[in-house]
Amino acid sequence: MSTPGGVVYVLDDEPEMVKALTRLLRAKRFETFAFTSVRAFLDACSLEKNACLVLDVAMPELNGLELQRHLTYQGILIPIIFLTGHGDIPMSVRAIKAGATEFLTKPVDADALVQAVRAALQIAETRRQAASETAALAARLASLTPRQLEVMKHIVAGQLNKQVAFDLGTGEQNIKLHCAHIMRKMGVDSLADLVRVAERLGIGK
Amino acid sequence: MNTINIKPHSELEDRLRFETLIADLSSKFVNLPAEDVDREILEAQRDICEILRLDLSGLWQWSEESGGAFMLTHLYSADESQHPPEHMSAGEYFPWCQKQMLARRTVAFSSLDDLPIEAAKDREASLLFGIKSNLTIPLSVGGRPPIGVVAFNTTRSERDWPDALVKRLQLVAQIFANALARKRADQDLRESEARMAAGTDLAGLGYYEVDYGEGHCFLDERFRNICGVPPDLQQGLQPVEFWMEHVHPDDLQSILGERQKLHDGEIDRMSAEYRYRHPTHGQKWIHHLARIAAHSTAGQGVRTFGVVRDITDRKRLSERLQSAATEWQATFDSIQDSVMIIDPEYHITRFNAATLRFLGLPIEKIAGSTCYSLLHGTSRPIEQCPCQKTFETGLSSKFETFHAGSGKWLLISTDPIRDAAGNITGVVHIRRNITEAKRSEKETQELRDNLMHLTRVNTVSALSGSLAHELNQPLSIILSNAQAAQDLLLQEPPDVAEVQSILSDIVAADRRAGEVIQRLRALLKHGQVSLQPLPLNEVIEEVLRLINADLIGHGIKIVRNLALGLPPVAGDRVQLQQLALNLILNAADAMAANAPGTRRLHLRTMLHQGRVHASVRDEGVGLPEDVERLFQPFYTTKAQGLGMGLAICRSIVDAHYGRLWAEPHPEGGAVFHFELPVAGSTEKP
Repeated sequence: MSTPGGVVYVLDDEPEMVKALTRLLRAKRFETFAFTSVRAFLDACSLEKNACLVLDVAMPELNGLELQRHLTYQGILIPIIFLTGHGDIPMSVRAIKAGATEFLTKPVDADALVQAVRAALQIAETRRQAASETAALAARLASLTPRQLEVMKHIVAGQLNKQVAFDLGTGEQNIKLHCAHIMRKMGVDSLADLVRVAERLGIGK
Repeated sequence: MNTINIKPHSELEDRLRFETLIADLSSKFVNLPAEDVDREILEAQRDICEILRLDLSGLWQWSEESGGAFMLTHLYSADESQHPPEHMSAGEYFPWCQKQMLARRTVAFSSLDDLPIEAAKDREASLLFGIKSNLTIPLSVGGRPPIGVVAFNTTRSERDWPDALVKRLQLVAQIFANALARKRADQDLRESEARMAAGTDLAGLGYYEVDYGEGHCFLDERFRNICGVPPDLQQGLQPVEFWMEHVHPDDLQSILGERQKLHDGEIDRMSAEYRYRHPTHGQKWIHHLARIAAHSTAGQGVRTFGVVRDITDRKRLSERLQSAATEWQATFDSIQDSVMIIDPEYHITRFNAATLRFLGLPIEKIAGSTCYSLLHGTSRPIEQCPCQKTFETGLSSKFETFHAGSGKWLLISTDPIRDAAGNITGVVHIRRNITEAKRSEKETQELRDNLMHLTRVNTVSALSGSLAHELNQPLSIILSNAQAAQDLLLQEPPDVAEVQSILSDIVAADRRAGEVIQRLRALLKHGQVSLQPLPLNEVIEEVLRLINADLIGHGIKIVRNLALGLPPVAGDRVQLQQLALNLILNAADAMAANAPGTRRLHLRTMLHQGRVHASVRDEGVGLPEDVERLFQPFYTTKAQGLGMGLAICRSIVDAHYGRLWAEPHPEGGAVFHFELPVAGSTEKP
């Protein structure tokens, strides 16, 4: 299994714990950054990089689940591997539901950790790719004229050309022309593809 | 013979008249009633002076009241205009003469010139009163010191005192002396009679006389009152019969028996106490004394006299005293502890039945023996004798001791007995067998220890999550480090420096795990309390470290307000940890239903009035109305609670001579306070 690129953030309130985990991950050739406080982590983590977070559930400032909620709210979609001393089932379920990638019980074995980190970075990579595709589509969308965007909203909502022309107070021939321009600008070949792209970009219903 | 006859007499005629006068006087004075003596003496003085042509006659009597001197009591003076000073003392005016009189020597001088040189004062007084010659004779009876002095003087001319005349006047002096002595005796007798009457009055005695021979009796008024004899009952021996009828029938036989012994001369005095049924006042107690006045010669019976006294009140009082004494003894005897009263010479003066049982000796061997000989078999008080200490210091003492011989635990206490002036007159020595109490105390202690152990085990299992974390943390550190080291050693070249650093971190983490186990073991340990100086803040921090993960897991925020520089408390580390642990876990539990972010647990320590004060405050559900119930065993508000936590806390604080209490906080939630004495303070129960 190839090692995906990316950085591993380790956050635990205990310096010795952070140190040990960091050593281990570095020995396994991961680029690792250690933090003992949530504040320091939030200041340092970069959205540009492909990254995952190894997080202790029990910390005095902010517990792991709260931090997870906070990150989601901020739109920081970083995969999280939770470490817990005594992982009880309700807590793990909540964490997983909230998007945790993995839930490991201390003391954690190196192989299990490495595997979890790899998986998390893979997820991060996938998410990054999806995000960059969406960003390209968004750029295409931005190149449409206001009239073209108007027409596209009606079309992806499933209206026929005749209905759209009536609603916008123009001829059916005009709408057909707009459609050809839109599909070219959005880089799609069929109406079905256009509807899927619109959905991804959150246009229409 | 009242008129003064101045016509001249022949010497012979005078002598005859004088002899006749002496004869008259001697017969007249023999049976003279006491009250006539003074008058007759004055008359005799006058007659003598007339017959012998003397001008002055004074009679002086010895008086102790006047400081021991002869005082002038009878004076005849031919010159009626002359009056002597009041309270005239021979010692003052005629000291030399008084001295002679006390030596029972008659003094006679015809002229002041005859007086010796040492009689200067007498001479001066004689000149003052115009005395020219003098004869003074002591009045003495039966060779005893003189009771008085009689003096004859001339003032108009000097005269001789021939021996024959002196002898005759000494005879007169003897008559006077006898009369005065008899008068004095008579006076003394009357005074003593008066005193006796006053005495019977005071003593409340009723007097009676019975003449069994003549068949009559006399009762005084008080006798009639005491025995209720009617005033009209006077005939013959009727009052005696009345008395016999009213003596209590149960006592009558013994009284009559005593009376018979008295009459028969077997006893010379009867003394009896008996019950008497007074006709109007009901039953009384009477004390009766009787004696024989005379035994009849004809065998017809005797004459007796005696007194009776109403002793009902005294009898009731003594009955009460008796019953009080009986009650006291019974109470004394019912005490299961040996109680002894010991006098300052260490003699056992009183002791109770328990003492008798404990010593196993006959009463007579105990009473009056010394305590040290009976208790210790020594010939003087032992060293450390508590009685001696109490006698010397006046303080009570109390101590426990183990008696190896009998295998008994004893509590010995001594307390001083003081008289009204506060002097120690004895010591109460109490010996209590506390073997049973000791045993049950030990059992209770063991039970308490077991219970504490049980709750500790409970606490520990409740804490297992925390403990797992506490142990997992170092174990995780060790594992991760070790696995990192494995990788580093496989590298080419191996990073030996980093591996060394890893190994020292592994050692540190391993130590940390060891400490956790140590703490766990200490918490589970079954041990005696040993109070050592301990910093309370440190104890609290240790507990917080132990349960930190648990608190975080429950979203509890610790708000510390721990005073710096607190003096150490006297405590047992494990027990105080247990105390802090229980209080903190309780506070955490109380906030389980709070919204996240409002689960603040406030810990505060401070020095307050010389004690270390700590409080654990939560923002939870608050306290029940009856706060004290919280501290009772098996009281719980938790479904899984044993209800022992706070009871144990209370007993821990008690064992530390401290105080534990709870109160609601004004802003909601509960505050548990505890206070402990500072180590080394003298604060102890």
